[in-house]
Amino acid sequence: MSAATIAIPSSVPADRVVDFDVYNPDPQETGYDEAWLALRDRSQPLMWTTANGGHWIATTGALIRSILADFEHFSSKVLMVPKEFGISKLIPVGSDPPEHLQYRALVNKAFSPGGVRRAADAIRSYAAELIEALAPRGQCDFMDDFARKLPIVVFFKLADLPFEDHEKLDGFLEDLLHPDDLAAQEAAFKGFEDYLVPFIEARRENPGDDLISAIAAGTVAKRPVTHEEAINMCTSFVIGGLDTTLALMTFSMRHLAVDPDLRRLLAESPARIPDAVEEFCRRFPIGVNTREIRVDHELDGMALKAGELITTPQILHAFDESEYPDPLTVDIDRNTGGNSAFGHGIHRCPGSFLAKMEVQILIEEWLKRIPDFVIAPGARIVISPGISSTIRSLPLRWTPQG
Amino acid sequence: MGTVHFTTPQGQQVAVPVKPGNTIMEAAIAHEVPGIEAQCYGAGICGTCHVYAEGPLQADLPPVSQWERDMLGNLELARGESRLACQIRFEDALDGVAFRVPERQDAMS
Repeated sequence: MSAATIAIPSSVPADRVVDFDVYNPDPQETGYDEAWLALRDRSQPLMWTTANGGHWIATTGALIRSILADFEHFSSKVLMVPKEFGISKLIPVGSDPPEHLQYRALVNKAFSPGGVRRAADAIRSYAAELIEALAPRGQCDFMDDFARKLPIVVFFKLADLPFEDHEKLDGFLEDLLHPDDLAAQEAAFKGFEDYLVPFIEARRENPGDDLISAIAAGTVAKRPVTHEEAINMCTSFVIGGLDTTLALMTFSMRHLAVDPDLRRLLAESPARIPDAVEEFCRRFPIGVNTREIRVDHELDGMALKAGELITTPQILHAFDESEYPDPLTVDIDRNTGGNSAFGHGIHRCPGSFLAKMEVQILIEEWLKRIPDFVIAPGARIVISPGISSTIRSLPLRWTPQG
Repeated sequence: MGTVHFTTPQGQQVAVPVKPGNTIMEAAIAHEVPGIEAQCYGAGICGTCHVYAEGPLQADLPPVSQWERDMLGNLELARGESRLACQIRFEDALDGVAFRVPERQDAMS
């Protein structure tokens, strides 16, 4: 879409207008971080881009945090730009109050630190099993051989689904998350739904202490959760939880592969691993969130109109030097608090504690068995940008262990 | 790095380290302070990181927002000094701040 076809709101001065595609920030391939830094350096806090149908971009940490926390002025009904692709029916991520709170209340306990910690031993033993199988090989593609496997099994554990089914679902999930075309995605949705239906129906009658039961046997607005809502929510948590977690794992391991000092420190002092995980979340955030402006109001001196869209790229918060000095450097001693990796306010990611625990377990178990590793010589590691950015392939090498 | 003190429902004193910028809830959960559940882990929607502010630094805590006030209004055990620990971001001036954990956490639904 060319800039000429997009109507720029008349109140937006020329020095606030850019042509920047938040889902493809680096078309010239000058570097992913560099592309975001260049936008940061030429921006005032609130900018307008002509890309993706035209929308606002918040470019400072303070603005990004305040927008994500403010559901009164910013709706979650549209979660992508442009609007024709972005209207979300997913529950609860695309819901606004008051119904949002009722849906979220169903799953708070399943994703609570206490609930997630009960799954920690099972997650750890599966992670250890995967790594033990890899260690003698001396090489792997971290994305295919570890990252894609662990979060699915974690979902199966939280949802209390039969472990042996997870491989059967790999194909559905690949098409759900990275479809070749719309038809493939629809077929994957259908396949996943068909798989879940018997579990949802059984647990509505005889609920257990698991995520599917919490949803299927739950009550919203003083009535039982409908079948459609239950399917929708289960699918939402898979869509929201899998790709994002495996991206966070892969970004973390890419960094460890190129930072031998940090590897050594964490291997010798595993108690510092949680600080490293927090810093990886800050430094390598993956999401570009979108909100729809609910009511006309002023922000950073600009007149926002109801119905317009605004994006909050989490990485621009990570790169805000007023909060995170020397922001590109991974520094596990820094104060990472308040970053936007998991959002803010009522829509804050319900899986954040779980995701961080998975990455912590990964690093603990990996460094015990493979303390030294590098990126395969000659491999070019490419960040694949989008609504949620990722690294599709991370070939690693090490001296075969054990 | 600073310190935040908790008195648990059993009367036990627990001191945990906290980094500036992190919330009191995050510090409590990281160190598994008894009685703090934080089911929603910081979205401010569950009411299960309810604490009572204590001691001389109470007046230095950030003010209660309308949202936090409304959430606390749903809690049976709420009192004048009630706070949601997820809504308090630690800063150096709060070093040594103290809270009492209520006898139970009631999740909102």
